[in-house]
Amino acid sequence: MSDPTLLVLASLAGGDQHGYGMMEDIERFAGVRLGPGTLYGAISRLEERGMIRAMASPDERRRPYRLRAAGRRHLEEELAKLGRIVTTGRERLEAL
Amino acid sequence: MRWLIRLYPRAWRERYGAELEALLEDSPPRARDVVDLIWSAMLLRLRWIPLWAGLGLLCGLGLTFVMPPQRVTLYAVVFEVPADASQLKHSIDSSLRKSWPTLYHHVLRDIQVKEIGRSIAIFTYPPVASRELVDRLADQIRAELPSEVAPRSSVMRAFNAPVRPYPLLLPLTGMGAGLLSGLLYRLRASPSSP
Repeated sequence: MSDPTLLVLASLAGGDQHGYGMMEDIERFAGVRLGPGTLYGAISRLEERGMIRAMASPDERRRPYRLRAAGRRHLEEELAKLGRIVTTGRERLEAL
Repeated sequence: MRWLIRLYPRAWRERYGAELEALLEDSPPRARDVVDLIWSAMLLRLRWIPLWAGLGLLCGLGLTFVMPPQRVTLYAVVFEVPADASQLKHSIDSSLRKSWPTLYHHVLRDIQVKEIGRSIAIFTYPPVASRELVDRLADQIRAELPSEVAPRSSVMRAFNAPVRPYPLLLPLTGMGAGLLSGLLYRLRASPSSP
């Protein structure tokens, strides 16, 4: 799972986060360190597609983002697909 | 590191520039982050370029259909072939090259040998080449061809064929123009200075 948009959605599924928080969180749970350009590229695409939204914050430069219903649905679908791949892969490996 | 943020399109920078700057303060960029920032900025700037090129291509393609077709008069000798038209085409090609090496070099460029079903057609575009020239070519080919592949008959026809104007050139030019317009638009809409 290295698609930056999925990583961002998975991170936000754990709660609202700002850019730096997401970067740290993704590195923790996925072992992938997203570059700042890649991270904000993914954030801007997700916000444009209505999957996440920026929340109001006293610090305008560190606004947290929140998962929206469309983002949650998309994440569920993609995780289901990945789940099927994982299951099939495991079954086939065990049969070897 | 502000210069890196200035690489991004203006509209994007106005929305996310301050946040990206704060992220770079919280997590000072390493060398590979600099590459990542430059690459991401480039992708964002070129994001709509394929669309522009595609639109240009479609416009060019549309133009070839909208523009009135050119009427081209063709002289042609059509050989009705008993079998194996490709072998006969090959023979005619080599015969043309062998028999008309220099004198008609400039003319031969405008003579086309086409394989159409079980026929071979030799087309030529006047005024570069005349009907008489095609006749002479046909006679020579008829005489030179081996008997087993010799045509049963030949028919001289004059076509007044409609031809789509520049079917390849117009779409490609449109695509190039679209690409260039897209780049110019991006540069104009997103100057690198704040």
